[in-house]
Amino acid sequence: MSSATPNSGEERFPRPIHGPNRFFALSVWLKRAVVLVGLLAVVTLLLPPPAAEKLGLILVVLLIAIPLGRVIWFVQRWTRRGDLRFAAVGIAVLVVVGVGALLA
Amino acid sequence: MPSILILGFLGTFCAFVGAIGGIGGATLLVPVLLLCNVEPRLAAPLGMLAVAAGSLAAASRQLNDGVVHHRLGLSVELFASIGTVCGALLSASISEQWLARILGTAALAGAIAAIVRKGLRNQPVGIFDDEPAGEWPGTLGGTYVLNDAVVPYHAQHVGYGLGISVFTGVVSGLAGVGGGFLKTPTMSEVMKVPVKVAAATSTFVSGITASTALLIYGIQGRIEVRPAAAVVAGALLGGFIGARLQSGLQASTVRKVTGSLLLVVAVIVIGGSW
Repeated sequence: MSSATPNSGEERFPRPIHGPNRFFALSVWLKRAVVLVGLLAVVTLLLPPPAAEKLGLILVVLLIAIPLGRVIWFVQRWTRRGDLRFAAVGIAVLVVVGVGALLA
Repeated sequence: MPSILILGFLGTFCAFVGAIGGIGGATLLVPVLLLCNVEPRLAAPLGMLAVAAGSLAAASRQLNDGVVHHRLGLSVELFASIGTVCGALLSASISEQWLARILGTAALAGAIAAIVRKGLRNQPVGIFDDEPAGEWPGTLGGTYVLNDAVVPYHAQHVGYGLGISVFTGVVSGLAGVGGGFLKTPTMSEVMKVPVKVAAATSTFVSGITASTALLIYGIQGRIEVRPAAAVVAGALLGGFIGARLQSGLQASTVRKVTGSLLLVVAVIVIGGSW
């Protein structure tokens, strides 16, 4: 329990329950993605058109998929930890993205 | 179309300022590309590629610094997306001139709010000093590090903030921009979230917005590979540097940078509408 004194402002906030490096796996995954996307971009600029077209397509697909993958990562994490309200928000965002693509 | 080198430089610059101020970057890049005689149908995807790459480059750093509030970001994005769909449907019934004025006025309001405000809204609280910065599970609150002290915060006026997010989404849908420059002031000035958290969260959310837009542009065949690769390479560099710089800046400096950028955007957009 908090030993907050009156008017200290401490009682307004819950005690955080997380530990250090809780997003370590996601952070490493994102670092690798940056390196991969960067390499693809440079190689796309250096290669002749037919090969560049294919690599460029992979580059764009990765840039579309990575933010959505990050949302999916959080949805599964929050679902496992019982934070169902925000997991539902994440799923709703993915549904809106899907509907947007279908409307296009 | 400008040379590959110039596109790379523009991508670097726009992602750099986008990562510092959390304004995305497309709002800056697209007008510059239009000035360089790039067709609007090709300029918009390049702007979104810069946003997506800048967001990706900043992600790991901002994640480790504990300044991204994913729950808040996804909540804002959900309501903004609903507005974006409404805006896209309404876009045929409003003139481009009025659209630009609405967009510019919204940016101006955000700029004034960010520049005028003085002092710190959230203060360090001693009991959190041993805790790593980050968001609290199940809430729209959390902590972030300011001058080596841990500062707790909690989003306020959430109903108003999400309502305004619908409006920012409508404006984004009408204008075809990501809307990061509206989401950051909404989170920092309406929901009272620290500006560094608001900017980093907006950068995360901008990546999702860009992802959706790129999916649509890709289906429409509007993405040219070599210019896209040049912008992405530049934006990765700009986003990486911007995120590193942002984590070391004072909150008041980030607020001033964001306000100044919004002011520039407002002048460009409103000026172009006359």
